[in-house]
Amino acid sequence: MNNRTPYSRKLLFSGILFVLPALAYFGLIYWYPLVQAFEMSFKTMLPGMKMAFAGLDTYKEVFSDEAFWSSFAHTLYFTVIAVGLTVGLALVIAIALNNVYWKSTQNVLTMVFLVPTLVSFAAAGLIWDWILHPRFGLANQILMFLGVSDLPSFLQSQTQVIPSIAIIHAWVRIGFSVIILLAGLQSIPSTYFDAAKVDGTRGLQLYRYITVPLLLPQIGAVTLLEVIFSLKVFDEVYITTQGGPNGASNVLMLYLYNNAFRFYRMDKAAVAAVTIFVVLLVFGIVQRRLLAGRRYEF
Amino acid sequence: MIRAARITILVILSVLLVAGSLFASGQQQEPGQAEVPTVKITHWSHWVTNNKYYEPYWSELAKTFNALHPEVNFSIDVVSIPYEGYEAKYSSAFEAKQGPGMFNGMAHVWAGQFDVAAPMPKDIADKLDSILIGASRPYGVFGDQRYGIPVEGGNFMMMYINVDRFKEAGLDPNNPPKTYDQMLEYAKKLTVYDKNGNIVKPGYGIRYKGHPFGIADKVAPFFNAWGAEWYNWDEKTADGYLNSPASVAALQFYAGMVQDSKVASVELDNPAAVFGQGLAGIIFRESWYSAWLSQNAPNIDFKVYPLPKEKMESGFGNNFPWSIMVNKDLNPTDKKWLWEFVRWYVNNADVRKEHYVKSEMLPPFSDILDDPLFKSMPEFQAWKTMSEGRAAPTYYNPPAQEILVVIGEATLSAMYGKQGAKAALDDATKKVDAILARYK
Repeated sequence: MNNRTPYSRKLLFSGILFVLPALAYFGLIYWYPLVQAFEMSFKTMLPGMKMAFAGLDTYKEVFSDEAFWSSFAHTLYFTVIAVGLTVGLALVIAIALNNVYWKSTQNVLTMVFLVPTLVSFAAAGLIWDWILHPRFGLANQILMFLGVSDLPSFLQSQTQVIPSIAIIHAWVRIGFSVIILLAGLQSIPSTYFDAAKVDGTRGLQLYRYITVPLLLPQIGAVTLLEVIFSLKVFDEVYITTQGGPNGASNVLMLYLYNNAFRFYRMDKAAVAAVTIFVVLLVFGIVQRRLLAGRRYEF
Repeated sequence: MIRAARITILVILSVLLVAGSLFASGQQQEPGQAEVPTVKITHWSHWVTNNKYYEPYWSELAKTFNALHPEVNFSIDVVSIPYEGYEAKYSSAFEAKQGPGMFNGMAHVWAGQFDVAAPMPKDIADKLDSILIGASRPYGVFGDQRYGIPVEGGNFMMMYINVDRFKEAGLDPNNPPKTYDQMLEYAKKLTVYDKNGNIVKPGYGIRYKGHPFGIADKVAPFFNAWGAEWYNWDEKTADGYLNSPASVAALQFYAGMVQDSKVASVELDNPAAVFGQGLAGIIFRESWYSAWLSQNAPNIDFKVYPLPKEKMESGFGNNFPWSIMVNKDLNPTDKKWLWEFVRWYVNNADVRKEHYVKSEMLPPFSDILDDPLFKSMPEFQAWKTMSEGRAAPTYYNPPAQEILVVIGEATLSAMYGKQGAKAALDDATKKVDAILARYK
């Protein structure tokens, strides 16, 4: 039985009309390419840039490609370091900022951390490529001044390259996470801390038993965002190392880019894109389930 | 609801009207004036970043052609597409049928693989073939069809030496190494280390950064000098070629400069940069680099010599046979006039000479080489010697880029000590065979 009144039907129709342009935009820019990528992943590229249906053959080709798995491993390694650095440091900085007494000073310091967020990953890559140059870079010049003799090679070292790129990534992303966490901290009523202090809770215990648990929704949100950004890392890798040295920083998005635009294997690139999508989807679902129910209203 | 629908329709119509007026093309014609077609060609090239005269030359040349042809409004708009990432821009544009009218590329890719380049009319192709120097003749050709005009005469590696570094090391800059073993001895004297044993001034500037196909391109002269080939396209196999004893020996020598002799650094920067900074004693680079040094590092005193030899001459050959091609999807009027322009350019030696004199680049055309400027260029003698010598193997086939990456990765693996030369090339051979199998 249709319970809608003529007026509510009018409202519904108006609502649909108003969201139609946005739906059309998202459909064209996001959903259509996504569906196309899925379709392309079941095809194979033939000489002359033609494509033919291949079932799961392209998936088998990609999943038996050592370069794919090494880029996947590098991406996961990068994600762990970048997310740990970004969220961990952002939490510490947010807590420190929250404890700044004067509001104006707090605002200025917050802006300082937010400024790198305005820099693109590509520009950040260029800046840090110079800073981390093993011979002439600022970082090693400072280390030499401090008396360090065994200088790191940063982006030129096969073992240090991923952590170095993670530092670049965290430098850009940290401001955004600080803002989210600081807002979360400022929304926690002081009565919780007062009550905990009355019960004898002191120092780090306050953070462990009050601050972090109450901040879990925000920590979960920034973690999810940082995982998404980290799994899609490309710009700073492309600008600084192009996957080197010796493939040590070859990440999934670079594997996708090279297959799409350098080897003209759109089929393999589509498989890589679908893989990234599925990984992100699974992570998002798992994270939501873990954090379900952990909502606090003050 | 009706009001909401009216507003929505009004908004959509307004947007369409604005968009239509913005994108509408056409020319205001004076009453009684015959219609003159407007042909505006976009020219995409990365040579704009290599040479500051590239863009003004083609724009001005189009104006000269336009003045000679009042029956058309002809112009060329040069767009700089940096070499890094150019493939993505090109393939996206051509896929969307929005590709440029003229573009700089490799015929085996854009004609052989993408099929977006227009075959050159026979009269222009025949004229070009009659005036091109032998070394440049294969550039712009795929199969038996010519598609493009070669851009650079010295588009193969030559040996650049830093005169001051040679003198510092007690070497005679007028007596370059003639063999690779000699080059290694020179490099050992040219290399400077800091107190921790790290190279601060490499004897040989080695390519280790950037995309693997660039790395393969820089190791190719070594394979050529050892008499090795990478694969046989007709047989569609790399087995017995890429993993041959000659190939292994060449890669062992190359990687040994990093691992064993320690005359090359994988930390400083790429060869062009370290040489421009006055650090590297010897690098291999094409002829365009001479003009680049003059314009960007005028303080570097350098000389250019033919590549050394080992079992045989390294020879002239490259992996990036750049040429200027025409988009086959241009509308008939634009294509007709663009080929007219190309015909005029190819048949007009003075016009071509002006380009290369201003650019300070060696031309690929034999009919304009007599200009004293070309003969005075640092790389002229080396270029002449090499271009009259051995033709090295070339690999202008559709999957060339993918194969170059495999070889580049094998080279890096050996350079970084991850694998020995034989193991790296055995692995690479399997991968190249798998790529070639798709073309059987």
